[in-house]
Amino acid sequence: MFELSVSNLQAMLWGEIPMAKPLAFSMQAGELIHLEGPNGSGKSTCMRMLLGLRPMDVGFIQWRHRASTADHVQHSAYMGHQLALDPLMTVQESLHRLTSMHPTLNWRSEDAQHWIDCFRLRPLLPVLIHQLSAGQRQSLAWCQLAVLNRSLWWLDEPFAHLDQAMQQVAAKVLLSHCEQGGAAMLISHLAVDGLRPTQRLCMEAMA
Amino acid sequence: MMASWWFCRMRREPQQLFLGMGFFLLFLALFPMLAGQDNHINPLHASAITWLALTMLSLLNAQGMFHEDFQSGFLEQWHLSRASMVRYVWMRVFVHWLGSVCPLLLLTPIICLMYPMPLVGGYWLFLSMLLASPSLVLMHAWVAALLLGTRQPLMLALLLVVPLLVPVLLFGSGVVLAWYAHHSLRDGFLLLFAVCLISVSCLPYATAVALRMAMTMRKTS
Repeated sequence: MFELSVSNLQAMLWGEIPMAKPLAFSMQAGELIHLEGPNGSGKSTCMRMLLGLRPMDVGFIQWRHRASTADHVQHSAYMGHQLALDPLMTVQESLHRLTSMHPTLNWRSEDAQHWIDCFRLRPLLPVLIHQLSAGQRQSLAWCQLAVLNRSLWWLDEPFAHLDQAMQQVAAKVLLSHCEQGGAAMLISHLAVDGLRPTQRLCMEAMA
Repeated sequence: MMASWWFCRMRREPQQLFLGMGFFLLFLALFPMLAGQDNHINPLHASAITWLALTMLSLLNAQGMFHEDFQSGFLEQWHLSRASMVRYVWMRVFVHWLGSVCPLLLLTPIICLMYPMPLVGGYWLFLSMLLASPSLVLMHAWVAALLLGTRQPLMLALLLVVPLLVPVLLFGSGVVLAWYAHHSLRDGFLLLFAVCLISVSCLPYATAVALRMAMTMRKTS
C-alpha cells in the first residue's frame, strides 16, 4: 500500500507567471486519476515536475507520508510524448535495451512474453522501429511500460495513434494495473470506452 | 552489455564510420599537395597536421553524441530508471571512441606511407594519439552535454573546448618533436598520461551533471 500526496503544485511560465491554479491531490493504490484541462494549461509540465524531469517551481510531494523528491520516482514508469525508441533498432532490441537497464528485468521472462502477445508485437519483433506505424510504436511503448513492472504509471496521451481495438486493449491493461494495486495518472483528450477514472483533476486557468 | 545496442545500431549505419575515415585521409592527402616543395614534408609537419586533423574531426563527430538519446526521450527513461548517469556516459563515450576515433588511429600506417615518415615515428605518433584519445573524447563529450538542447552549438563548443585541447595538443605533438630531436620521450608520455588521468577522473562526472541539467531544464516537448 502506498500513498502519494501532492499539494500546491503549480507550473510557472518563465518561472514567474503561474499557468494554472495550484493542484492538490492524493493518489492511493488502485486509483486512476484523469488530469484534464485545455491545451497549454500545463498538464504535461506538472507531470514532468512530479517525476523530477523539470525543476519544481512550486509544490510539495509526499510519498508514504514523507517528503520526497526521488523516492516515488523509483516506483514510477512514464510514457511521454517521446517514446524513447531508437529508429534503427528492432522491436526486440528495443525491449532488450530497456530491460537490460534494470537489473531485475529480462525480456525473455514469462511476464514480458505475455505483454508482447498482449500488445500484438510478436510478429513485429524483428522489424526496425522506423518501419513501424505510429500506432505500432505507441503499442510498443505500452508494452515497455508494462514490462517495467512499476506501481505508479504516468501516462501522457497514451492513446494517441492507437486504433479502436488497441485502445480497448490498452484501457483494459490500465484498469487491471489499477485493480492489482497499482495507480496511474492519465492525461488524455480521447474518451476511451470503459475507462472510468476514480478521480478527475481539472487544471483551471487563472482568472 | 548496453553498449552492444549501440553497436547493432552502428552496424546498420556504417557510413558514419567511413565518412570520418574518408574525411581524415582526404584532409591529410591534400595537405602536402598545397604545401608544395615537391611533396617534401618533414615528419614534424606530418605529425602536427595529423594531430590537428584528429582533434578537429573528433570535435565535429562528437557534437551529436547525446543528441539522439536526448531527442528520443531515452535519457529521460534512463534518469527515471535510477540507473547511474555516469555509467551511461562511460558507455556512450566508449562506443564513440571505438566507432569514430579508433578507426582514425588505425590509419596511422597509411599516414606513414603518405608522408615520408619513418615507421618508428609513426609508432610514437600512434602511441601518443592513443594515449590522448580518451581525454579528447571525454572533453568533447562534456562540451556536447553542456550544449545539449541549444540550437547552434558548434561555435560555442569551439570556444569551450579549445582551452582544454591546447595542453593535449602540445604534449601530444611534443612526443614526436622529442623523438625527432633525439630527446627522451618519457616526459611527453608522462604529461599525456597525467592529462588522461585527470580527464578520466573528472570529466565523466561533469558530463553526467551536464546531461541531468539539460534534461531538467528542457521545456515540455
